Amino acid sequence: MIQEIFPGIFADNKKIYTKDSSGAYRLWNPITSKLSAALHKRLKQTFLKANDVVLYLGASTGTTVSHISDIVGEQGFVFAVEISPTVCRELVFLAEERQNIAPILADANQPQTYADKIKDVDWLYQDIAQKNQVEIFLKNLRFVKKNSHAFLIIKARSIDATKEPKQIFNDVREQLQQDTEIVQEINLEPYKKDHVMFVCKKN
Amino acid sequence: MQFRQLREQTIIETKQKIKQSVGEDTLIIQAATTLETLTTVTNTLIEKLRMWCELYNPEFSHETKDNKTFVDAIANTKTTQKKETMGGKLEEKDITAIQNFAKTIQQISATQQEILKYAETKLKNNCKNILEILETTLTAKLLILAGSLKNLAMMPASTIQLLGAQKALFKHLKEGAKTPKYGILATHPLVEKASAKNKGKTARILASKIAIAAKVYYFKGSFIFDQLKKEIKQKIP
Ligand SMILES: C[S@@+](CC[C@H](N)C(=O)[O-])C[C@H]1O[C@@H](n2cnc3c(N)ncnc32)[C@H](O)[C@@H]1O
Repeated sequence: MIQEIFPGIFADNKKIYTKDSSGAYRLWNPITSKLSAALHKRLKQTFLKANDVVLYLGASTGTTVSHISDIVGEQGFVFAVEISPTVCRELVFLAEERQNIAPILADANQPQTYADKIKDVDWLYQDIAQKNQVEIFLKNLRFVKKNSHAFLIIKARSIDATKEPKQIFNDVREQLQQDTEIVQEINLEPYKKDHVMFVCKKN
Repeated sequence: MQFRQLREQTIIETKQKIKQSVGEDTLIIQAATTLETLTTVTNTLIEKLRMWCELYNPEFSHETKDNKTFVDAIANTKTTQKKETMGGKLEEKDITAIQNFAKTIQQISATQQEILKYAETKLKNNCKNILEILETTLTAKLLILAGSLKNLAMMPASTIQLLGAQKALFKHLKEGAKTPKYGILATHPLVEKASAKNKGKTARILASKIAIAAKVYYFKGSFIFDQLKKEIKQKIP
């Protein structure tokens, strides 16, 4: 039996779904989406609900974005930032199909290049495999208000392939604690190796 | 501004940016990666052709080591079996099927030659000064590794020197193996010719020449100039 486990998120014994605008369940695959992986790994709260405005960094072709678009619904909105023109094409097609996605081709390292296009963000999500992923996240925190929630996926190997992931996660935690309160930390194994999701609340 | 308007505006703007991201270097890279794929695919197809042909005429396949000669022979003439052949008895239509397959491989090879010429011409028109240092394939490979001409132009020589050495570099960092001294540049004739002691140094000199060539080209080249002009125009109200 399918039940609503968080606002806009549904699950039966094994699988997780969102509902599209026609009311049909869409399977949310934990292998292709790290947010689904986190839900499978017992994320305690999503802090996300209908009508929310989301800033999503590293949107890629929009797999996860499409589910977030389902959750926030027609009155919600997703700003989807992606740096690569090649994958951004797919994102544009997605935005044309759905009424609540704005595709932005930009470098998340330079928030000033898209700041004028973004407003009223309630919830921030970042999944960017770059060496300076924490720095990018901290820069973009400016778009959310105090006490808002911000989700950060850390891929240890992108930060430093030679260090122990555990050490890297410790360093990241320390950096994040200066500007946020860490609400939960989820290792995404076995769905993703050496990836951790930090759920933060902005100070 | 309303979200609906924001969405419409970003869709238009992003489409425009994606459109503009397609440059001569993107086309060169696409052609070069397609060539790499075609080489692998053709080798697999020829292997298949040989296996098929060997059912009928294993002796001919065994004698004809050169792939091109082999494919051409199968495509153009119906090879005849030797008297004492190990090959099976095949009907006319079986042999025709093999022949047609060989013709397809010939066509793919011809397309490959065309793409190569196309890429070479484009490289000549766009990265002439890099081509003076490297030949076509190596220039293309370097472009692929860098991702774009812009990236290559932004790279310090030390990074260019190690392009294509990622694996060795990782091994060095992780396991303390020797520092790699060159990546793809190892295949440059000058590096190949250099004595073991001088290989690293030669790669370094080459890399610094390439770095300068890429910068000169990228920052003075005509299409970037057009792009810059456009950007300036957009910025001035
Ligand atoms: C791991 S993928 C994200 C997958 C996506 N979150 C999903 O679940 O569907 C990371 C994406 O971040 C993009 N990216 C990398 N650096 C970036 C930057 N500086 N700014 C914006 N996007 C970036 C990459 O092009 C890539 O598409």
